[in-house]
Parts: sequence; structure tokens; C-alpha cells
Amino acid sequence: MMRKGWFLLALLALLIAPAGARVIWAQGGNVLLYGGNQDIDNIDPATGENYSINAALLSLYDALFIVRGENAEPNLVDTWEVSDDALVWTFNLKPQARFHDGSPVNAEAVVYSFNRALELAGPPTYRWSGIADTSSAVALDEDTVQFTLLQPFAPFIGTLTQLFIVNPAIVEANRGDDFGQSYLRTNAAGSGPFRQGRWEIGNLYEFIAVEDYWGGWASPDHPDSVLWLIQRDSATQLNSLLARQTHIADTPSGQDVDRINADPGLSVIENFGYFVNTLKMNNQGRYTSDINLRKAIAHAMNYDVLPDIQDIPIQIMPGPTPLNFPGAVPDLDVPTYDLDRAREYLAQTPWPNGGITLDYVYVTEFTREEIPGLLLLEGLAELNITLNMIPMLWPDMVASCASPETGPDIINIYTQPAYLDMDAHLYNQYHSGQWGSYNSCSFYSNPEVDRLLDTARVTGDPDIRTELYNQAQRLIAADQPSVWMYSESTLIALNNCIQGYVFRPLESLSVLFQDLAMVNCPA
Amino acid sequence: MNLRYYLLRRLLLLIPLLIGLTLLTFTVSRILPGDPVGLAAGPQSTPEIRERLRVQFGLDQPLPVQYISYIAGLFSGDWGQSLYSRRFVADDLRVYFPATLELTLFAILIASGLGIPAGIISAIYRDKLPDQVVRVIALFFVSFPAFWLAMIFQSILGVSLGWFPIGKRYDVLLAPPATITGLFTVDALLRLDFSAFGIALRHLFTPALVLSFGALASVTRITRAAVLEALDKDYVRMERAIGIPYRVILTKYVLRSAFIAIITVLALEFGWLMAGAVLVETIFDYPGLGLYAVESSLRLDFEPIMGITVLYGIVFSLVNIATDIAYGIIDPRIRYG
Repeated sequence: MMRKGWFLLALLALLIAPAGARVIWAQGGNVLLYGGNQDIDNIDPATGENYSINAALLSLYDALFIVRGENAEPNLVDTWEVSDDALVWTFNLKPQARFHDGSPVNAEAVVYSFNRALELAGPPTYRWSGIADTSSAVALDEDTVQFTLLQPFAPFIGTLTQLFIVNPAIVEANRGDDFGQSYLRTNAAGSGPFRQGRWEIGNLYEFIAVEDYWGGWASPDHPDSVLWLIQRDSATQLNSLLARQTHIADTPSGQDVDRINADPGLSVIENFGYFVNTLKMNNQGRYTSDINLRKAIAHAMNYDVLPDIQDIPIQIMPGPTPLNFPGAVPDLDVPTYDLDRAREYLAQTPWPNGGITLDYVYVTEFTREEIPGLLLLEGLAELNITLNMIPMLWPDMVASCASPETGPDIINIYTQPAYLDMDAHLYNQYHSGQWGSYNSCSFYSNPEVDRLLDTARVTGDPDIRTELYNQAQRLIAADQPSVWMYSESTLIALNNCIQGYVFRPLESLSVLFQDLAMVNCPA
Repeated sequence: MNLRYYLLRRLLLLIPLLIGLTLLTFTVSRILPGDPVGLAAGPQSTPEIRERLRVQFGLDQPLPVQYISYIAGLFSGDWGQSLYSRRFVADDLRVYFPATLELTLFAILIASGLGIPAGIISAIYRDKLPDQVVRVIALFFVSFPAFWLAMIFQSILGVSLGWFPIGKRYDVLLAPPATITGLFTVDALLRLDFSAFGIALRHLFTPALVLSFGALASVTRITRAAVLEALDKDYVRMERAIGIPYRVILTKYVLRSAFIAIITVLALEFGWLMAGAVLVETIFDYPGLGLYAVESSLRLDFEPIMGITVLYGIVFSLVNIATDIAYGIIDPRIRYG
């Protein structure tokens, strides 16, 4: 009995002993502990793309351009020229850029990376689909690369923020039979401010600062390393921050904001990005092809109460484009919650007294998408229109957007532009040539809008492009293909010792670790 | 039938079982509506890109061809590739499975370590105060949802008291013990690294404790019932009548008889815990199979789903075989056949 007692005591001591005195970042160096909501599945720049992957790519690789704040700045590029017709783009690279193995990031590497991306046709590649092919990029000399596009494409620079340059020698050495995909999925071959450290799949990822990084560091107090800790649950993110076991949590719950801000050492930064919620109405559908019905629906949505009941701060949309997006038209005549006007529009439809049933599709168990549906259900009930709430798994929703025949009457979709240009926001949602992806699930078609968007794509002059996009936005607003709901805030919780964080509305969750500084972080 | 022949027969029976399992899962996953290719290709993907991806993953082939190709790969060690992350399923399973196995084993250890004594006490003191206390405690823990208990334990033991880590399998600033089995505690012991063992155990303790609560009540109740049944047997009354000490009767005869039922419930609970570890894994950032299974299912990522199903099928079958063997060891009257 005595022996058992001692054994239990020893076990308890073993369990608890190392805990008391340990403060996690007291072990030397500026180790930034980052609680990231998502896994970093794949760090191959040709096939991986989402916010966590992008945060990793921005750390491990360099792209030709980089989004800082609200602008795309040259990164590997020193100077550039573009032909008047936006067809031929010539970039001079910074000669000092070096891969981690010391070899130069030259024009050949750019051509190699671009062609590899096109060949593998991963998610980042759609940016250049129909715009360029594997003969488009040519190295003119060591530091000059020229892209001759298949068609003029004015927003080309915006797309180059996602062209991360790989080290051809490393890829070729690990080429295998899949063009190096197996290798690059978990191994970096870049020139970025960090190199890979521990890479524990599904658990944590370490980025170690390259001390003599060719691009230099924003601050002498930059992180010596960053540990991306996967923390999927917001309660865990909160507890880790409060216990000082992380410095940053990238998706704290809206309900935890007050508790975090109440801690004198922590803050929540709230910003509005370009992550937009939209109720896409099937413009080719049996009922919602009628513009007056679409306008009636848009007027039956109670926008006023939405900010109070969503669990995260939101800004009601002023039309198809968030106001902080460059080129947004601010004074559009957009619907407000007005049941009288809704009835007026309904009176002009073949169903003046309602009596119809519409389907509303949203992601199963996703309350944030269910709430707008319930508000609409209430509003439409006043018009004698029944709303059939249909929860669906996301892959099923994606499949339903394949064609107008399968598209639901109304579907709740979040969208985010992929590059910093109005083309990225409007083209894939409102050009009729884009039907088939969930971004274009409204199956909107207006030949004049198509013409304006096509023309803007091939127009080099920024002023003319702005005017074309202004016209397009006005036409789209007048056609009401969707109910524009809100842009969602991005919350990020930081320990106050972290400085240098700048919000990037385009990639609102992908933090630029290289720009951060750790000043007097608790030891 | 001797044990060796029995084992061989059960292992061979695994093959048709797994083929049936894969056929069923394959058919269900392929006939479900949904467009995983569209999802993997991204929101702005063009039809050409989606088609190319479909060809790349062989999804343009007829279903029987896809199935045969999958089965052939399975036997050659190629368990397919995730459409979404492009990682190989076998690699992912190798990472995630040991974590969940370790968590489940410790949860079972805790559930049996607490549940069996509690059940015995409950049976011995039938309808008296200790019995009532044990039943109330068992009811308390089984009634609360695991995710809620997980958050409470995390908040109290991790944040307020600082006794245990908030999450993860190991101290994030340290490298875990080099892999032998993938079970950190076992690997640390095999390498005689007691510091690493302590760290791994501390990380395992809270999630395993929370996970064990679901099984704790069942183990307690079944133990109580089995012990009570055994205590009512004629041979026990006889043993008591001839003066064999009660402690000896309990440990040598009653418990031995009750263990058949206890092992059955532990084997069942093992399956339930393994499948139900997802919530605990999410809250404690525990990189396990449950989370991988849920994420793959939500994306309709075919091959990870298939891989997880096959792996679960193998594990459950092996646990069943082990349970059958244990029956024979506990009660030699049981014959294999």
C-alpha cells in the first residue's frame, strides 16, 4: 500500500513539477508565438493558396510585388515598363536578391516559377488563365524578365503578388515525376525573410529569421523566429493569450473582444477588409430572373438590425463593392429595408400578391449565414413570399453553382478579391463568362457590363479604367443581381509588446511577420 | 481450434471485411452530391483548371476503374492523395494516428483506473452511501458535454492554476522525442528520457482525462453490475461459507468473472473514444485523426476519407480480435472457434 502511495505521489510530481515556474518565451531570442486558426497544408507556391499558406509563402519566398497596407509595392522588382496596350510587361529585378542557398534570384528563376505554376494549374493559376501561357515569360538578361501576354491585361501587376519565385536548382534536384510537388509541399526553396524550421504537420510550423536577409529588416527587434501554432478553437486562442502562451491570435471570437481588451497587456485590432457577404440571387432562375422581384427581395432585408445580431462587427455594404476598395463608387442608390417599396416592386412582377416559395441556401450550422436568411424570411413573409431555408454542406453548395439550372434561388456566399484591382472584385462575380464557380452563382448577364469589364481589362490608362469600372458598378447596382449584405471585420488579438502590425485588407488574415517587432516582450 | 489457427483465420477474414468497407465508403463518397474539385481548385478557377485537376486525380475515369486503382494502390502502400492539400494520405495518417491512439489509450487507462475501482466499491456497498456517491459522480461527468468540460478544465488547470498546458502534444519550444512508435510517452520511455516523458504526460493528462469521462460512467456501471452478478453466484456464497477471506474471493473469483463484461465494454468504449476524440482534439489543439477526419469530410476530400475508414476498420477489427483472445486468457473454459 505504501509503495502504491509513493508511486502515485511521484507520478503527480512528474505531472505538475515542470509547470509552475515556466514562462514559455523566457528561453532566449525573440520567439513570436502565433495562434493560427488554420493548418498550413501545402507550401508549394504553384498549388497552395489560402490565408495560412499565404502567410507562410510571404515568409519563405519573395514575390515580384507585395501587398503592404492597401498598396501593391515592388518587392523583387526594381523598375518596370508596360506597353501602351498593356500587352508587354518588362520588369528589372533587384540584383541583390538571393535565395537562401546564396544563388541569385534572377530572371530565369522568375520564368521557371511562372511556367511551373502554369503547368501545374493549381489554385493560384486562374489569375493568368487565358492571359498568359508558358511562352509568355522570357528572360531578356540576368535581371530582366519580359511577359508578352496573350491579350492585354491591365491588372497584371496585381496578380504578381502571388507569383512567388522558387529556386530552380532545388526544384530540379527534387523534381521527381511530379515537377517537385511532393518536395515543395513541405519544403521551401525560396529567398524570403524566413527559412523553414520545425515543420510538424497538423501541429506547428517554425519560421527562422534569415539574419542577412537581402531585403533587410523593418526593425532590429524583428522576431528571430515565428512559431505558427494551430489553434482552431477560439476559446483556446483566448486562453493561450491570457496565459501569455501566445503573442498573437488571428481569429479571436467577437464575444471575447471585451475580455481581451480588459487585459492591460493585450489588445484586439479591428479592421474591415474585403471579405464580403452576399446573397446571390439566381438571375436565370424561375422567379429571381425578374428584376422587380430581386429588388423587392433586396428591400425586404432588414439591414438595420443585422449589425446588432451578428457575432462579429460588420459594415453594411454600400453596393457591390466595399467602400474602402480602391475604385468603389460611393453614391449608389442601393436598397434599404423598406417594405412599402418592396411591395411596389412586387406589384410589378407576375406575382403581385406573393404566394411563391424561394429557396435560401446556406452552409450547414453556420449561424452567421443563417441569420440573414431568417431576417429575409421575416421580411418576405410580409410580402406573402415563403423562404425555404436549406442548410447545405459547402461542397454541395459549390456543386449547386455549376449551372443556372442547379443554382438555388438565393445562396449565401462570402467573396474576397484575389488581387488588388477592381477587375478581381467584379470580373469573376459579374462577367457572364465566369458562370460555373460559386463566386458567380448569381448567373448575372448584362452584355454592357461584360463589355465594360472586358474593356477595362485591356485598357492601360488608369483614369479610363476607373471610369469604366464606375459605369459597370452603376449598371450592376441598378440590375440588383444580388443582395449586398456586409463586409466583415477582421479581428486580430495581439500582446502589446508586438509592434509594426499593419492591416492588409486584401489578405486580411495573412500577417507579414517580417514587418513585426517584439519590444519588451515579457521574459 | 488452437489460438494460432484462430488468429490466422481472423486476420484473413480482415481482407474481405476491408474490401467490403472500402467498396461501401467508395460508393457513398462518390455518389454524394458536391463538387470537391471545384472546392479544391478555388473560387475563381476556370472550367479548364477544374477539368485538369479532375484528370490529374483520375476523377475523369469510370468509377470501377477508380476503385480498382485505389485498391491496387492500397496494397502497394499508396493510400492516395488529398485533393485539397495535395499531401499523401499515408503520410498524414502516419502523423495523426499515433496521436489519437495515444490519447485514446490514456483515456481508456484513466477510465478503467477510476471506473473499475469505483464500480467495485459501488457493488460492495450496494445502495449504501458510497454507491450513491459513485453513481452521482458518474452521472455528473457523463451528463456534461465533453467540449464544455474541456474548456473548463483548460481554463482552470491551464490558465488559472498554470498546472497543465493549454494544449498541444508537447512543449512547443522543444522538439518532441524522436519517433519510434509515434506515441510520445512511449518513445520517451524507450529512449529513457524521463524529462520528455514528463512533458508528454503533462500534455496528455487534461485531454485524456476529459475524453475518459464519457467512458468512465459506462465502465463504472458495467463493473458494478458484473460484480453484483458474480457476488450472487452460488460458488461465491459457498466460498464465503467455507471461510475464504472476502478480499481473496473478490480479487481471485469475482473480479475474474466480471472482467469478461468489463473488457467488452472497454473494447466498445475504445472505438467510441477514438471516433469521438474530435472535440477534445479541437479544443486542446491536439493534432489527431479525429480533426483530420472531420476536415476531410467537410471538404468531401475522397482519399483521406477512404484512408481514415480503412484505418479505423483495421484498428477496430484488431481490437475485437484482441478482446476475443483476452476472453480466453481470463476464462480458459472459452474455446476459440
